[in-house]
Amino acid sequence: MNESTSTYIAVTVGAFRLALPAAAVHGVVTDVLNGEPTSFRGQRLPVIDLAAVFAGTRRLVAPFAVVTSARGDIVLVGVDRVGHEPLRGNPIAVPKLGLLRPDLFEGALRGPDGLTLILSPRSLIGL
Amino acid sequence: MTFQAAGVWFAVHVADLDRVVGSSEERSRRLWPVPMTCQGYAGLFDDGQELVPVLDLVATNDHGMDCQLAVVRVNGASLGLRVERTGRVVDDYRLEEAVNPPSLGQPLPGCAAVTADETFWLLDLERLQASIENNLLNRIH
Repeated sequence: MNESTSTYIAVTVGAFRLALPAAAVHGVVTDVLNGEPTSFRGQRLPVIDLAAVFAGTRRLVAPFAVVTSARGDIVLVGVDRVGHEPLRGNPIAVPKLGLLRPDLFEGALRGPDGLTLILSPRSLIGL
Repeated sequence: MTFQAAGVWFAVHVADLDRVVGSSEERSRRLWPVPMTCQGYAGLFDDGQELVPVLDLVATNDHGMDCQLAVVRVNGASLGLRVERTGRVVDDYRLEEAVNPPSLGQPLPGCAAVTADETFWLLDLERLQASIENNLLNRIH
């Protein structure tokens, strides 16, 4: 019997290996200016650069931004890189001890290259 | 069981110790960084069965140094302690009052213990776990 699996878009931010649920991703934009809304399919969307939030790195331009939605809100999530191949798997639980924002993580995926943390689009939008 | 980290000898009760991961190479391959964590959090250790949050008692960013990981059980959950080296099992010691605790941003809960030839800090793992949770609350609010 096949286990049901979900699909994720892999991203990296500094040393962090992260992923977003593919169902919440609408596209990827390159070279996104931080600090002001960016156009995507006729909409002006806010930018949340994870390099600033997670690594304290302020930069003028994010090399990539993933267009992410949750509950009707859409944002551009700035990252360092976006994986070419989608990730598939069943998430495992992330222990909450020591996490300042445990709501940010929906789980983690084990893969041949290591552990990837799955971000919650809903929590990302609230950052 | 005693451990050395940041120049201090620590100890946990043997009954609370699950295992020690000795090879820094093997450990670093499976210790994954996590964003937005409390002070002293080193990452998540993946032993292939579960993910274990790891507290860095060594308190250095030099993750290339040869370190070990002591995995303990606290209230049914696993917690990793990053240490420089393991010591020995000590079964004859006495507790001492009024000794300044070692600090990891905040004092580490426990009490001093002495034998005929050594002193170590016996960690109170339940209070350490609570301390991490309280730190979390402090940082959020």
